[in-house]
Amino acid sequence: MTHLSPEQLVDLVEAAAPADQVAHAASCETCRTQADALREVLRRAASDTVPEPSPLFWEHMAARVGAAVRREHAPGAAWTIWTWRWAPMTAVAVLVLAVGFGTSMWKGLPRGMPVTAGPSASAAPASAATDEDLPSQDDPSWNLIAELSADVVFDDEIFAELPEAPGLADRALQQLTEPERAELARILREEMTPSSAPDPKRAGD
Amino acid sequence: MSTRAAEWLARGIQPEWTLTVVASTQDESGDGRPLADLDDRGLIDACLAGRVDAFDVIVERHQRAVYQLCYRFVRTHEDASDLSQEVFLRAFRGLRRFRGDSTLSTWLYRIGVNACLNSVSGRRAPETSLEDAPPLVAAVADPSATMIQAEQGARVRSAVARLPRKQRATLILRVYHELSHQEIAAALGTSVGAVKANFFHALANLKKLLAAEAR
Repeated sequence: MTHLSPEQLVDLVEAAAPADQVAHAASCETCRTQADALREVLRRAASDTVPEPSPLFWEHMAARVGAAVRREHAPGAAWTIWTWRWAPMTAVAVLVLAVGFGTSMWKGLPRGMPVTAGPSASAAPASAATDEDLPSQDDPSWNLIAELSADVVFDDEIFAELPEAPGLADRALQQLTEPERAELARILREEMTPSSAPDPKRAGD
Repeated sequence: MSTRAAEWLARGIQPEWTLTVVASTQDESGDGRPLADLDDRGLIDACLAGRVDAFDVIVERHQRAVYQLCYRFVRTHEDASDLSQEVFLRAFRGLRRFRGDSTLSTWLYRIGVNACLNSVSGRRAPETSLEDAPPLVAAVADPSATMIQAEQGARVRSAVARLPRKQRATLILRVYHELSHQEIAAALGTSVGAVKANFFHALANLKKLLAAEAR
């Protein structure tokens, strides 16, 4: 004989079982005992009530929620919250980009050369870039990046989907401004420093 | 229209003034009905149209159920109050996403269960004591009987708090909020069959926990 399943027992306890299952429970000691035990624990659980707070609490609660809701914007204007949250960061990012662009423009001009001088290097096809276009060996940021990336295996799985244009990474680096290069160096240093390495600040402890 | 006005119109006489009647929108919806007369859908529409006070009515209507749900999970008055506010704020922020597939109360229960489970998962559930209970309003007829009932209630709540998350949520919604299995399935994002199975296991586990406490 197949006993009632958990779902059927729940239906039986809640008086929602079809007649054939009710008839089965009436004749099956196991199912009847199980259903009785469930009914008893259900009765015990249902007898517990949440203590009712003071009637003043509900007014207080409604006022509290109302005030919190009014501090928010209307539902349709929820984006304005994000706008305000991101506004300072956006302003800083724009400022950094503007400074970076200005610096690169200033540094990109050879001394004494007017702005309107002939076709610029950027107008040339990217593939025409040579090692001469790369930053000088005296550039500390460039040296740091070169040193940190010396051990990187570029044919790793993670890089497998990168386009394989020769000199692509070099050209990308070349187009970075000084602050961007410094930031990249910082990120690389953070990423490539082993997490288990001792904290230099605490080395003397 | 009055007889005199009809006479004026027939003679082509136009008044030199215009009278504009502007209905007061205080406590009324766009169609002139008081907000309190609107159903939940009407209140949501009014709220989305910019009537924040329509949300006040939603709060007044559902705050008791939301508070009781939260209290079942966190078991202290203060935490239940804070969580209730959080539930309503989340609902307000997501009101535009409410499609009306379920009732507003079921949707609020869903938000409430998620908020409560997130809240209690990060900390140990408190031991229920009589001090945690909110101030009782009803006059105490028989202090000793009330004390026994309170102890039994605390024991049940403590056992419920030790149930696995889904079982606890199912039992609370079914036993204390009397949601149907379909409504619980909608609130928990699961099937009716799973709700019934969870309810069965919740009761079976509760029986074991209560028996273990009694020993």
